[in-house]
Amino acid sequence: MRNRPSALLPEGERRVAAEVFVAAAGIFILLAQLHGLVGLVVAALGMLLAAGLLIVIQAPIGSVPLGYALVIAVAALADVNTYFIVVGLAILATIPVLAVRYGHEDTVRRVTRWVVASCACGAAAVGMRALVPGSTTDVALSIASVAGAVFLGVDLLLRRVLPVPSSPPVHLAESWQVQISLLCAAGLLTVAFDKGGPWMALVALIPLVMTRFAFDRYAAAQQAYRQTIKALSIVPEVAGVTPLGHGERSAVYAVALARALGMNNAAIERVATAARLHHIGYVTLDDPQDAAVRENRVLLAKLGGEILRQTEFLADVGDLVANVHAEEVTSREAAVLRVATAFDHLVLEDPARAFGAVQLLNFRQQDAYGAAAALVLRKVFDEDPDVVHRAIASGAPLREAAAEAVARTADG
Amino acid sequence: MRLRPKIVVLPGWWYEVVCGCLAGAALAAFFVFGASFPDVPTLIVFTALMLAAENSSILLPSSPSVSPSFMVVMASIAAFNHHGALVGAAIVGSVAGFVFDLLRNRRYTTVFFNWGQYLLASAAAAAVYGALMDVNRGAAFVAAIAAFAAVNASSVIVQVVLNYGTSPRQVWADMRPVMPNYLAFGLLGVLIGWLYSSLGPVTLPLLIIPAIVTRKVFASFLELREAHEATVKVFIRAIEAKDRYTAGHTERVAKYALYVGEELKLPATHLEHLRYAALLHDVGKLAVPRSILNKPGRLTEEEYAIVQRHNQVCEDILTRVDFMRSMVGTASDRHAHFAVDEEREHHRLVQEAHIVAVADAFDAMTSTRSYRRALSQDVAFAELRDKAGSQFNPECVEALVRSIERRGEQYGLGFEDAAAAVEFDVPPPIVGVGSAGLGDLIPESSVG
Repeated sequence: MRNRPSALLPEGERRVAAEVFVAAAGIFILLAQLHGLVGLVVAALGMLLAAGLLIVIQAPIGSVPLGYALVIAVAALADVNTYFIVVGLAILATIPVLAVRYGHEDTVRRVTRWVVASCACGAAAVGMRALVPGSTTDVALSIASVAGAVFLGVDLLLRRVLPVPSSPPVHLAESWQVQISLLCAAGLLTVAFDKGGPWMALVALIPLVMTRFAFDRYAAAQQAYRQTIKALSIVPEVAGVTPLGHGERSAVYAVALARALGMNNAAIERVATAARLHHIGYVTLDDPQDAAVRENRVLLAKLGGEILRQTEFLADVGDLVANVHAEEVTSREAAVLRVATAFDHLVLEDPARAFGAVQLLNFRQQDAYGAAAALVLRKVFDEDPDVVHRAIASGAPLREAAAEAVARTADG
Repeated sequence: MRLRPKIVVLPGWWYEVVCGCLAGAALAAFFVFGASFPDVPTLIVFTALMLAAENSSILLPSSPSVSPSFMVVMASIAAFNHHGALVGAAIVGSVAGFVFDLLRNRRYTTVFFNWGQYLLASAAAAAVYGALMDVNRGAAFVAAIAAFAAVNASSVIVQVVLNYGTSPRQVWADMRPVMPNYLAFGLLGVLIGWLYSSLGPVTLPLLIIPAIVTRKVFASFLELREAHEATVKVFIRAIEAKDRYTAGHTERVAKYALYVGEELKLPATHLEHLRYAALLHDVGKLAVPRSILNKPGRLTEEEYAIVQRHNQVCEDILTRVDFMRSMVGTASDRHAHFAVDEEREHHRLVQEAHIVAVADAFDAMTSTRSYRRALSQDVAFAELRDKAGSQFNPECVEALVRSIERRGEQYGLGFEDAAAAVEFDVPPPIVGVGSAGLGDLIPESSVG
């Protein structure tokens, strides 16, 4: 058993921290009831909000805290002073947990985003109150919808401007589902609290929890699927058909190209999968050691396409893989795949070759799609030369693991 | 062109008609005996909701044999409460019968039956609720759900038995696992109805929009899981096509691995991961020539080296797949965090590898291979225990033995899966214990 010096918090630290916050809120409320202290109620609300900010939905744009709904509801229901005290308290309370979980740079970005978005939200609420006077439920609901839209809009904008490292690209077309669910939840929370008090508000959170459950299941399934794809992509590499880590590195390039071309997440996922699996045809061979067949890359691509097309879900990926070595490409995705895999074949693990490879690929394309993809590759490489290092780092664990395993089998 | 029949009937059509008529009589009786009529706008809202829920198949996730539109019935009962819940719920429930697909297929008697059975079940739920409401609200709702489930399930069982000739026991066996869904959907429905009646109609869009989103995401989740399953199956088929002696092997290894995982009380997500890991444990065989995999008798040193290289290396790398931090950054790649995660993940994956190793060895020993007949279960257990601590993780070995003994199952010589039995070109020799799993391939000289 290796010791884990870095484990400052127990397993599932975010969940544990959220529980601690909720418990603290409970104690504060109890004390406030006994002594009639308003300050403690505010503190309790801050703790609840902090817990909410730590519980996240795994959305297509990255993790989105459930606490957003609470922030919006507080903006709609409480006066502006209370709102800023509560939200400030909540964000402060989450900082240590975030720092342990994500590291400093990441925490700064997240907290900045929260602070700016909640300030905008508070300002919107103040503006709405000035525009629509009164204290009926309908007024509260309209404040919640406007302030909520502002909050979520600013959050989305900041995700683009201040992206957290390794977070996926932001496409409104794919993220609106989460935003709208949060907005509805905030509205329901506002109405429930206004008309039915805290207990009703608690019940009104249940639909949001269910939405979170669905998103979580989806994210977990996607993760599991991706791991299976990775596992399968390893087989031809271990067999030496293609250099170790080629699939992973090609996937990094393919994703970078697809993003630069503005493709949506589904297309990005497709080219990444195709890049990982473009040598999979090898596994259908009767004798995978047969050198003549191994050299026949067109045949291998065709076989790979065939086995992938056997599952409906991977049929598109199969088409991409089947044509990876075709003379001409007929779509942007195919061009991305071809340029990405060819680039890795040229560069392998030597960043010094990247520049030449970019030139060569630009020179070599014979059709419009390929030429466009190669141009984008040049752009990606010019803007972010680090992409090569990242790709090599992605493939490295694979090579290390393989070397270790080979050494071990040789010993045994 | 062939004319479509005017109406499609299945053998149990008379039962369907009887049920429908019975429901019609019940509805008439409500009016004759002056049951109170519910609030019309609320009735319209819930009826429309039910119609949408049943037909859009987007509003609510459906599971076999428990229609989640049941939620709407319970919501309406909670919303009508004192005021005409009986008639209201009956009408709302009966609308669930109007499934456009069935109408398009001209199965009018089935539509009539569904109309009737939903009406009766909903009315039963409302009646039970009405009777117990003043005693205890919560208990009344639970009893109402039970009443709905009883009427709904029993009438559907009879219908399926008459129409398709399945045995009632079989239908019940299919239905039983989803019975808890009644309670889950029902209580959720009660909640929605309560929010609706206490907060007013403004809550409806606020509840329905997230429900649509949830449903959509859940549908994509199910689709993705199916795709995952299908992908894994394709590659398992490829493995088994290559090595026919191991037909069914991967599935059995996955089964034993889950036995161990459950015995060790792993959480559900880990179990799912474990299952895929077990299913893919032989993926390295895809890189080994068919002639070597199917060779009767022992392998030469060189052949052994080839198998070892591919299978062992693949397995070793698989144990690290999870924790190979992807820098690709496609959507929701929730990686690249912190060393805490890495250590934890690594520990989990090592445990997974231990479990799969034990499961693999057990199946290898208890099934007939080209080089050896199946061993008996006792011998396999003894062998596993003997190697526990050196080759196998003792905790996993004990967990496997315990879970199989507790289930009273028997594997090995004389108990082999008949479906998986293969004809051998050369009858497999009866030899000693040998080792297991990949160890089976160890050349003769190096075995004890």
